[in-house]
Amino acid sequence: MSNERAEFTAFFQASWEPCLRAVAAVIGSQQLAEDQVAEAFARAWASWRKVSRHPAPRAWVVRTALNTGASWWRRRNRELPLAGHDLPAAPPGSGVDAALLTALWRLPARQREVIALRIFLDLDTGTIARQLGIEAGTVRMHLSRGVAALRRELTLTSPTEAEQ
Amino acid sequence: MNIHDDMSDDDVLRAAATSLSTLPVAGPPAAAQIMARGRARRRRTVTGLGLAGTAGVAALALGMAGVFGGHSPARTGTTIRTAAFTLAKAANGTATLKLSQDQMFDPGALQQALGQDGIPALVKIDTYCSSNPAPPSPHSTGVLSVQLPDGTPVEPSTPGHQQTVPADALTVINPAAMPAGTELLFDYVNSAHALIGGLVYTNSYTCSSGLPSGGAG
Repeated sequence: MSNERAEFTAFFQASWEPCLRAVAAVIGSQQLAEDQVAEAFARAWASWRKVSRHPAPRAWVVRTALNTGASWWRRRNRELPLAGHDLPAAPPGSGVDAALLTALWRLPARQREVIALRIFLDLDTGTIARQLGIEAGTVRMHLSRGVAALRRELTLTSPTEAEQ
Repeated sequence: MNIHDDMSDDDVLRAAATSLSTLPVAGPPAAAQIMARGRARRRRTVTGLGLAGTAGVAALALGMAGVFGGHSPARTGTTIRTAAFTLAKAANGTATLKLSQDQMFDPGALQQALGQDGIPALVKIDTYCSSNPAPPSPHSTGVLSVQLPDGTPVEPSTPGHQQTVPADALTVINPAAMPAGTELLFDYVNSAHALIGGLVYTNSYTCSSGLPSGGAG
């Protein structure tokens, strides 16, 4: 196996899950996310010499996935809540905070995108800003509003429920 | 006062990360499969190949179709066109579907139009339908063939998967390939303005809308 193939394979195997989780959190559909992330990785391999030198290749994959096939959907539906038609169910007994998930999926798409890039790809504010083509201050605003909404949702949950 | 009032922003983000990371996701397809798809894409880019064959002919038919407004299917020759979609029937029995990106989707109109072309179909919006036993994949059976405008085929990332139909794609439907007892299922995902195409057995399917049971909410 050539160095390039080995390098891409290692990147693909290590990055599939975080990229898929980030895209699914933004678009709210597991199936669409799988298809779009697979297509984004294929495009990454097609342009691997460029992508491998990218400062944040996982972010490149996520951005490409979000742009694949429905490049305009965020413009059209930016402020619409997700349909949630095939959002995965929280496994029973997994400790997943259902209220928190609901709150996340109710955020506007840009806020979800910023939060997904932060928590799944562990990107700092500056890198997120460069990836999304927006100002760092705008990223901080989206993060702040998103986190505030999530905290509000958590606050509505009683302490007893939250501890379960 | 609630325990969450004291959570820092990082605590809230960690709680969200923990919750989302617990949800099951599909494992990666084979890297070789992804690389083959990438190579095919690179070849297409180099040679500049566009739409070909049936989809190209169908695209021409779509381009020549008359323009009709409203939500009721209107037929011109072999083409049914509404504000939200165009459905063109070819002489070989296949039909080509294209959504109009700037229009609200009308599931009833598409179901009616498919029915007029002899394609048994169930068209839903933000609704998950399945049947038991699981029907075959519409892609592997040749019932659905999807291409992006640049000719890139859209294939399910997982064998047996239902078929994603992005908003700007051309979908060729081959009703002759539908297994006996099945009908076509299109689920319109409003948040993505995309269709998910599949097959269901007419006598054994169930549908649900909203969040799955046991999920958030």
